[in-house]
Amino acid sequence: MTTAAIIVTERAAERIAQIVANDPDNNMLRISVEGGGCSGFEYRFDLVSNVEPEDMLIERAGAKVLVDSLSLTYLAGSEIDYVDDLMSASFKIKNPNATAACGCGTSFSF
Amino acid sequence: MSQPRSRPRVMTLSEAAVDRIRQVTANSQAPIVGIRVGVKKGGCAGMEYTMQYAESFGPHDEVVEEKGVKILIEPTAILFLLGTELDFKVDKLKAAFVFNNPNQSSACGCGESVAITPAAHEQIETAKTA
Repeated sequence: MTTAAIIVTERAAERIAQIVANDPDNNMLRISVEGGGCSGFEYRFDLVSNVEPEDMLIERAGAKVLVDSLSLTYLAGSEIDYVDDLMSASFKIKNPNATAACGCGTSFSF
Repeated sequence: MSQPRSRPRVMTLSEAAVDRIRQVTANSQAPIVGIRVGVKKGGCAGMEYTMQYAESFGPHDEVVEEKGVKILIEPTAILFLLGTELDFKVDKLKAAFVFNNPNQSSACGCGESVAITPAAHEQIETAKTA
């Protein structure tokens, strides 16, 4: 397992804590990378209950984020943030590996 | 000032959108008169919807009022937004305004970038006389 840091911002940690407070069975946020979207890859966010053997677990202020080993190769060095503005409130990923991104940042390429 | 004539609604607001606009208006630091809605070029499908806090009315803004909340539609966006319902969707991980726009012909994966065919002028005249 690599040790490349994934940073979870304070706002993201707070939001994860709020979300799982309502759903204690699925108390971890899994972030994964899969093919799709206009730029080639997409981020996927799921609430899950199990840690898989190859997962990297990032904890901040009680909030737990899981990244599988394959997604980790794409997400190394990324910052997971939660952005609440007028138009929308959602998790956003700042990924230093991404060379292009879709308008909303959900899809990106390397 | 003369009485403004009654005009067709360029946009409608869902119950959820009204609630959300009421909420953001109440939370705004500066006093605002409503939310300004527009379109701009951008994203993979060609255009993006924009939303901003409006501190005053523009001279040509189209104002839509619903249950006490106001949206101001930029004059250049009217043809693109005619007939659109503004909704606010909340799921576990995300909350966002959604434009249900009959003029929209395609959209990006996340729906933030769209291709819009502007409404023909006849449609507006029909709407006005309806």
